[in-house]
Amino acid sequence: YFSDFFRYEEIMMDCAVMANPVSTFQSTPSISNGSRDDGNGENDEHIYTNLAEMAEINNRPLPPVPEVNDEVLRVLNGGWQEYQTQAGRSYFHHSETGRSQWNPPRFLRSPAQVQAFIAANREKETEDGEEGEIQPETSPLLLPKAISMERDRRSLKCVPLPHAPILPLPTSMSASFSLPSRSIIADRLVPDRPEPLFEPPSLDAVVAVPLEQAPPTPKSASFDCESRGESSLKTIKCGTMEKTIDPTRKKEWVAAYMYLTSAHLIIYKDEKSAEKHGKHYAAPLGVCDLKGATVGYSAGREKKKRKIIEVLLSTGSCIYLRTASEKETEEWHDSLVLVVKKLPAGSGVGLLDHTSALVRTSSVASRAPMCESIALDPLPNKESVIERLMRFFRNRPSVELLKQKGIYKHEAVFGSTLSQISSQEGGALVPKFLRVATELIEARGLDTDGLYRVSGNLSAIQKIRCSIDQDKYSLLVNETDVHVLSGCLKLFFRELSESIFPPASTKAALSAVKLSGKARLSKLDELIKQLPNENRETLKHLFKHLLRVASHSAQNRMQVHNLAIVFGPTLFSCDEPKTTKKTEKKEKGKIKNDENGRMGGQSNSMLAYNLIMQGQVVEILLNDQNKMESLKGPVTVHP
Amino acid sequence: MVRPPHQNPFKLVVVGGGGVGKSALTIQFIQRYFVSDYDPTIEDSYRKQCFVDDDICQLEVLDTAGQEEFSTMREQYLRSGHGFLIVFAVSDKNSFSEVEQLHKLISRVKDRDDFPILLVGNKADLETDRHVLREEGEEMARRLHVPYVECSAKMRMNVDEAFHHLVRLVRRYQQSERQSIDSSKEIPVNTPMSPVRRKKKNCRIQ
Repeated sequence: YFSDFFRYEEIMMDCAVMANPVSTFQSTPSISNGSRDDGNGENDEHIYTNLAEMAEINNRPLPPVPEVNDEVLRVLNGGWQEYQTQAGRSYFHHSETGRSQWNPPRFLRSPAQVQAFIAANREKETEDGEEGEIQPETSPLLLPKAISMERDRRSLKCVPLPHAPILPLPTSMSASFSLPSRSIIADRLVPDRPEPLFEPPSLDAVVAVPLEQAPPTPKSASFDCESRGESSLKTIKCGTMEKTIDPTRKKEWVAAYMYLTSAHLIIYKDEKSAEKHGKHYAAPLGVCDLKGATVGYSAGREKKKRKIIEVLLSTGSCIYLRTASEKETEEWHDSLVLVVKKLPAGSGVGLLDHTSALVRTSSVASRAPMCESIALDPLPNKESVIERLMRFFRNRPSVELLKQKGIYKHEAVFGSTLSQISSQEGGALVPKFLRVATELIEARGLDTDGLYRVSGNLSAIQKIRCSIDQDKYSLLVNETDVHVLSGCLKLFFRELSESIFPPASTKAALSAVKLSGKARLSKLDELIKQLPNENRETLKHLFKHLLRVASHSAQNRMQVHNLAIVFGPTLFSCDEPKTTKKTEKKEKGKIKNDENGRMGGQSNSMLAYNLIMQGQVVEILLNDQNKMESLKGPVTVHP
Repeated sequence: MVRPPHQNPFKLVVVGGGGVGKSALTIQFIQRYFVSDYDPTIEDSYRKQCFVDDDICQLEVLDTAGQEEFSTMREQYLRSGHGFLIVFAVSDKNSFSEVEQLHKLISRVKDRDDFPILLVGNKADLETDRHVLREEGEEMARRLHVPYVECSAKMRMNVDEAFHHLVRLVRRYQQSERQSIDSSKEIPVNTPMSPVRRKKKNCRIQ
């Protein structure tokens, strides 16, 4: 009904306003304020007190070029430097191109470029000289850095990683960032189960992508050649083994599913996770480069227990493996030895060393292995953050335990129920807090404009709430702002864990409003009679107070109608019956999908409808309090 | 058929504490009169067509409830709004202290800190009853990186200007959004790098 306030004149007026803004300004009454009146008549300047500043930020097409003596906040890759304007906004300047921009530089590379990059990489074995063309700063993997910088400009220092500039910072571990390399690796590196065969060139390309980020040396290329020269990369063996990096500790043994290829040992959490999920393979827990590794049986353990295979990788880290049966262990050992023998010794770059990943609990590591995997220096013996967090959560006592120990207490007044408060206060039917609060409001602020409508300072309200819960009333009594007092009172009703009208009677009350005249009154009367004593007397007390407030409506402008609107949602339970909640969710989904849908669609109008109805119930009760037996008569505080 | 852009209404939402004059401001803008009755709003929606910078636009103005009791309604309008007027009364210090909270709420729901928001100090005609200095309002606006305007719904001072400026902010914002989407189109969606359409991953802790 409100929706079409479309009037021709209005458009015309708006046109006029736009055509002659100066006259509009003059015609609007302005506050007599020196700085406002003596202007040059430019409209905006008078209206928006900080407009000049906003204009600087929003309208200026380009950030300034830094002066020579301007302080460089940070030096970024690719010749970018970060500066700050005088207003304190940071911007980025490229010293060579002389370009300035507000946004942090993004080192994005289009997929075409990535393709070209990979292709160039393949050619590299024949033309070594081309390597230099690919600048490290154009690496697509630099993106996380740029983003994290943007998010957290102040706190995050841009640390150029010494060994491998492509690495996402360990802190910015995010699946999406590690995805490109991961998905390629998962696609190519992991053998196809039915026909376990690698495509050597693509594997090289994959290995080469991250490798390339290390300072390009001919070595990396030669590594590719070598592994390429090494026949086809087949899965030689696969199966479940237990692995650890510290065989002396019993608990560290973790079962894992492994693939042995002609150059790597690929470790998965279990057989299932090694399978193809949709189009992609899941990322492995770890990949051990067997080049330069030594394989043998762990000494000393052989006799006592199962045989343990010891794989010493070229990086210096060691993995221990064992299986359920001795025969199987021997088989694994032999195939590992065979694989290592075939590989050229010593030239292995410990690129895909996963020993650090192995330390983690498998379930966690399986999700974020790549960030770790490329890390050239695994953090030795340091607990992962996730592990520490998990331990912290596990060690935290439960709420029940805290309640038993008496550390965690229910609030005594707010968030309690009326019956509980009543029993705490020796059977008084009206809570002490309510009696004190209404008395204070009536003594100090019945004439306050917008009483119960204007909100009070929320932090002051919360402070009072806490002190009341500890049975300290001084803060409440000394509060001078009436809106804080009224806010406390409203909060008390809202926070009751069982609202004055329980959900069942809420529904009945709302349907009763649709009746008329006497039927409506008697229905509501009936309903209130059914309420527990505490609820009824509390309600009576509140209504008496509200009527007193309304009697001052000439001063405070709060008529019964206004008070009722505010107290509707305060007195009724906001828990909707389940059916409406369901439809609400559906409606919300619909609105989300339908971008053009009218704002405040069905769900909200349903909500608004309920709120209006609740207000109406309160209004009827307030207006006809004397006609209803249940609300008649004086309030009995002590039965 | 592609609808001309101006037919998609801008959804402007007026938020702020209780009794600061949100409805008065809205009705003054839409219907050009000052409401003297003092009914608390639950939620009202208005439509208006007007010219801003020689460009016609459809506005849908949502007038909301200021009281905490009605916060159940918030989620919906916070999500659907294209631009927000955060209103406080210069005669009411409490309403001013709510501004920051509201700004935070909007930024969180929109996941942006540059969403089109305008800070409005209403009741500027009550100069004698002023509790929030203009400088304080400016200071707050500077901190929140939003424009600040003082207006009076009663005197019809700066009412249209406030709404029109918000329309400009929304336009500018939507334009920049469109541009960033256009530029991101160069990267095919299927590359996992694409920062714009990033699929949500499940939580990693178990």
